[in-house]
Amino acid sequence: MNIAVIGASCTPYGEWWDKSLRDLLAQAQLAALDDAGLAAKDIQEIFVANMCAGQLSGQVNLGAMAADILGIHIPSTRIEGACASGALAIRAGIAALESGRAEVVMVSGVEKMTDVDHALATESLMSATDYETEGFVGATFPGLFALVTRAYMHQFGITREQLALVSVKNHKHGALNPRAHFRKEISVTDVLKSSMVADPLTLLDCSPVSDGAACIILSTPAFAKEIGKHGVNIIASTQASDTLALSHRKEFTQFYATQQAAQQAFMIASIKPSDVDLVEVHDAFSMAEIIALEDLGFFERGTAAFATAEGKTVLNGQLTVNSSGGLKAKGHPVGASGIGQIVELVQQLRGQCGVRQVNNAKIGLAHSMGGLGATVAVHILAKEA
Amino acid sequence: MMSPIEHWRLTQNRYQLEGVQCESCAKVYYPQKFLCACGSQKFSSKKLVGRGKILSFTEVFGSSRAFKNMVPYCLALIELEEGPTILTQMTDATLQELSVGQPVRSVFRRYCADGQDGLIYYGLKFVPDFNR
Repeated sequence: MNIAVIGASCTPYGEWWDKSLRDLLAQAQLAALDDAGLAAKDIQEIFVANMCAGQLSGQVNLGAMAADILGIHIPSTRIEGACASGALAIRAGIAALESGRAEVVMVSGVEKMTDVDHALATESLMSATDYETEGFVGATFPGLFALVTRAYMHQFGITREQLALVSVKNHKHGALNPRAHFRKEISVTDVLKSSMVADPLTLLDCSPVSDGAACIILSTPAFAKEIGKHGVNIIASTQASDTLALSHRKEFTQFYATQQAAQQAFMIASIKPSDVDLVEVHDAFSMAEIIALEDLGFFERGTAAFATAEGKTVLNGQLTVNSSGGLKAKGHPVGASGIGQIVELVQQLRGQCGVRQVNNAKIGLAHSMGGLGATVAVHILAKEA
Repeated sequence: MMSPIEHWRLTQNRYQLEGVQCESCAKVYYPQKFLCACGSQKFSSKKLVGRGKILSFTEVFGSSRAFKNMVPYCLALIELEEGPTILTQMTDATLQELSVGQPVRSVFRRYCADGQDGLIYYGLKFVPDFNR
């Protein structure tokens, strides 16, 4: 497959008390149009990703909002797949192009999470679990990932310090990203001494609650060439599912959906993991990055924490992981996150990342996860030769 | 978000670990299942005895509106004797008293309440079973 990414932008992620859901979405959509050199009337269909606005802003029907921002009357649809909403919206945009019904589409994502108190934001995120069973007993997202973490530490014998190094590395990258929620380096001691969220995960193992929006413009390769905006293409887009409830799995330390989506993506792109120069993985928790790197095929099971401790995943290491700072440091405005990952890959493949530029970046992979490994999407992007 | 109607509908599941067993391959599920991995849709009711062992556990320090006054509380993944795994709250035990592989048994306890004058939600929690 070959789909051109002709425009890409994201807002800075953070706590934006002076900006609304609509403000953030408008900011990202208009900046992406500008990046593509297009006018609103050039867009033929919109897919907008969001998870929590119904619960946190009392606002659904974001499809209409996204089109309204541009003042156009084209088809516009909201896509939801918990934290993977953005990645699923990209897949919907690709499908519209591949069907032949559109030549250029906009894919945007937004989340406004800091208008409410933390308990309500937690509750909204909990709705990505199996709410009747796991929500009822008080399973928060950090709580579920803590269960996975303890099982993994028990199985593979990694230390708490090794795990902390994931956050240390992502903050180091985030400090280089002007759009990151957190631009401050942290130490292993900072991670271990931060307040306990769900034992053994501390505050600095967890991605923050962020506001933000991201937007990309996709087109057919022919349209991209016509307007002179070709250069970066999506060469694989895959998705897989697993049980909604964590407890209904046989395995808690690997995610079948990631493995399935990754294997298919590498097959479609006709590349192998060692061909990838940089990867944006869904590090909602430090443990999630370790498991994702193994499930995606970059490291053997049980070894990614050791590889991280050896510095193999740092910027311009063996494999650059989360050059943006990841969900941990760049931030995690849920609906925007999957699209924000693609914005980072596009800017890296274009060579626009300045001090955090990955040397000679040609192929990038993005991994987005909704719920606890229940919905996973993988995208592979390549720079045109 | 808790609902009295939803809770009434699920009391069989929540009050007494009532699962189902596939009539074709005998696999046991909790809670109920619509389609077995073997392809069958025929299930009979199966009461689970409420004993198992801990696969993993945690202690949660921040939670939703329904649980924020209860923190910290312990959660555990339990493998039941009949085969299904469940996620539950642990009670009558501190984090330091829990371990992977530890035998546990179910007890009937209060989960949360809809404010001062709303419904109190009960369900099963698990405790360490030091006699096994």
